[in-house]
Amino acid sequence: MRTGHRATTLPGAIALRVAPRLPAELGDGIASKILITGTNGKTTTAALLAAILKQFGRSLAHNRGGANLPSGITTALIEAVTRKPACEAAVLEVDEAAFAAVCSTLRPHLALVTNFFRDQLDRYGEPSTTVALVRRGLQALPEASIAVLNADDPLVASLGPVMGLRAVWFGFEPSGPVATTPDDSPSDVTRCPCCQAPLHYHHRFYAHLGWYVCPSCGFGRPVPQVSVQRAPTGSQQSLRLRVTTPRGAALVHVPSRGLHNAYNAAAALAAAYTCSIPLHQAASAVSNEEPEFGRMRWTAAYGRRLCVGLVKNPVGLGQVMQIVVEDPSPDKAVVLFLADRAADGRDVSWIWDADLSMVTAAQGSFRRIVVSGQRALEMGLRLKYGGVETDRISVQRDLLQAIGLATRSVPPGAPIYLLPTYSALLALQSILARVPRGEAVGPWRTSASRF
Amino acid sequence: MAHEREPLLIAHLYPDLLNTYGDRANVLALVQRAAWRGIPTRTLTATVDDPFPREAEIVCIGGGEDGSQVVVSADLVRHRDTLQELVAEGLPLLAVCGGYQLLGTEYVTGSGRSIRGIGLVEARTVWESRRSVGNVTLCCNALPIGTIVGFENHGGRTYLSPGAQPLGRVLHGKGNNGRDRSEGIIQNHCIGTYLHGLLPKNPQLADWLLLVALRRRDGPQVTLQTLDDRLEWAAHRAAMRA
Ligand SMILES: [Zn+2]
Repeated sequence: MRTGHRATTLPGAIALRVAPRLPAELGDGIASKILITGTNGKTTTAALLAAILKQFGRSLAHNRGGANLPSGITTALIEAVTRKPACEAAVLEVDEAAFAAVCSTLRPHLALVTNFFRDQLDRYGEPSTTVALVRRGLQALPEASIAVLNADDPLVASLGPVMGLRAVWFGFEPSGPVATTPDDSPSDVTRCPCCQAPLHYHHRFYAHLGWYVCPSCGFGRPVPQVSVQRAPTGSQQSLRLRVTTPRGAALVHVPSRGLHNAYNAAAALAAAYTCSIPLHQAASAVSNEEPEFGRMRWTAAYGRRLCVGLVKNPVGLGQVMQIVVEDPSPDKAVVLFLADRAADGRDVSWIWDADLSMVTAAQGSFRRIVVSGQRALEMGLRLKYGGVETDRISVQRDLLQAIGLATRSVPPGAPIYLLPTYSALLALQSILARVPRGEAVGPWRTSASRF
Repeated sequence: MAHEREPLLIAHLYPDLLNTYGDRANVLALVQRAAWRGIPTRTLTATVDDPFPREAEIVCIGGGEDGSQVVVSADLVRHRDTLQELVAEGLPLLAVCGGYQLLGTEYVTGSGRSIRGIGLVEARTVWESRRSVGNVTLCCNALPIGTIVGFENHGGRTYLSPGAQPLGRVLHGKGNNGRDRSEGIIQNHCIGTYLHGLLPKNPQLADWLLLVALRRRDGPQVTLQTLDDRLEWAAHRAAMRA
C-alpha cells in the first residue's frame, strides 16, 4: 500500500474493515460513475474531467492526490455522500492492480484507460500482467458501460475486442513537422500484442504511442472518434490542441506542457464527449485547470520558481526531462530524487531504460544538477553513464539540503525543477508548505559531496 | 596503449524483446568504460531471424517479459551450436534473468510444461508462483572481485548441476533459488545472473569482461587503465545497505 497519506485513506481503510460492502452501497446512490486507470496520467486526467463536470455544478466524489487504492476510493465516496448537496457523479482514479475489484464493486458507467508503460515491476509485474488485470476489470463492466480508450497505445488497443463492450477511442494526428521519436529510443512495445510479430509504425509520437499496424495479423490502430492535433502556440508554458469529434471541432488551450499532458487532455475531452458534454464547455474547463501538485505545477520557495514533477517510470522521466531541457532559462537547476521505498518501487533499475540523451546534450545549460534520495548515487551513475560529466553532478541525499543546494546555485527568480519519486513527493508537499516563498536564508548548511 | 586499430565489438542480443528490466545498463557500462580509456567500441544488435553476429567480442543478453521470452527461446535455438563453440573458445558473455534462464538446459513453466533450453550452461529452472524480489548482495568467489550488488525480480528458481560453479554466494537476498545460497553461474567466461542494474555499480565485473575480451583479441599483456570509480563504489555501497 502506498504510505504517507493517511488522511485521504484512513477513513476508507477503517470502513472497509467493518463494512466491506460499503463502497458498493455508497456507489449505488451515485448517478454517474467514471473510473480512470492506466500507468501514466490518471491523476491529471481525473482532475481535468472533474473540472469539466464541476462546471455544471455537479457535486462530485473525486479522490485527489493519487489515493487510488480501495481505501482512498472509499474515503472519497464517504466524504462525497455525507456532503450536501448529495453526490451526483464520481470521478475516480484507480490503481491498475485494484481496477478489476473496483469495477465489480462500483459497476461504473464509464471506464477510461490512459496507457500502459512498464512501471514499478516489483509491484505490478510486467506490462502484459497489468494489461490482463485491466482486461479483467473491463470484462466485469455492466452491459451499458462504455470504455474510453487510447487508440495510439497498442496495449490499450488490444483491450478493444473485449466481448460486447462499447468503446470510444481517442488518438493523435501527426501535425506538420512533428518531432518524432527516433526509431532506436527505448520502447516497451515492439511486438504485436496479438501475434508477437514486429509492429510497424507509420508515426511514433513518444515511447510506443503512435500509428501502428501489424503486417502479420492485421491488428492496428483503431480509428478514433475523438482525434487531436497539436496546434502552434506562442507560449513556452502551454499547449494548443485542435480537437475533432463527430459533433464538431474546437481549439483547446492546455495550461501545461509536454505531449503526455496533451494525451491527458485528449483523454478527458474524449470522456466528456462520451458523457454528451458540449465540446466548447469541456474545452473551457480544461483551459482553466492548473496542473495538480507534483504534475509539473509551479510554486515559489526562497524567491525561486519551483516546478515539481513526479517521476516513477522510464517514459515519464523522459517526458518530464524533455520539458526541463526545453526551458530556455540560462539559470536553471534540477534536483532528481530517487528512493526505493515500497511506494516508489523497490527496484531502481528502471532509470536505465529512460531516454536521457537530451540531458546529456543540454548539460551545459544547467547551473546545477543535484541527485538526491536514498538511491541518489544510482541516479548519479545513470547520468554519468549517459554522458553527463561527473563534476556537473552534485550528490545530496537529504531532500531539504538538496533543495537548498539548488537554491544557492541559481539567482532569485530562476527556475528549479524538483523531480521526485513517489515517497518524496508526499514529503515535499509538507516541506513546501512550510518554507518561505520569498527570498530568505534557507535552513541548510552543508555542501554537497562532489565526484 | 595502442587500442586504436579496431573497435571492440559488443553484441546486444534481442534488445527489442529482452528489455524490461534496465539491462541496457550493461551495454552502456561496457561502452563507456571502454570509451573513457580511449578504446573505441561498436554495438551490434541482433534479434529474431537475424544472423548471429559471429564477429562479436562480448555478448550481452537481458531479461524480458514471459511472452517475449517464449519468442526468444524459439529463435535462440538457431544459434545453439555457434554459441557453444564461441563460449568454449572463451567468448565473454553476460546473460541476465530471462536471458540467463534461456541459456540453461531446461525451463519448467507454471503449468508443468518443459521448455528445452540451449544448454549453454548447466542450469535448470523451475517456475514458482512466489517471485523473488529485492536487493541482492553476493560474495563472488568465482572471480577475485569481492562483492556484487543488484536487484532481482524473478519467478523461476534455478538449480545448477553438480560441479557447476555459481557466480557467488548470497549474502543478502534470494539468488538462484532461495535455498542453497548460490547466485548465478560462471562457465568459462560466460556469466548468467539474476541481478539487474548490474555493471554500472559493479565496475570490477564490467572491467573483467572488457579485459577478457581485449586479452582474447590482443594477447595476455593487455592491462586496463584505472578509472575514477568513486561514484560507482559509493553506489555499490548504497545498494549493499538498501
Ligand atoms: Zn499481429
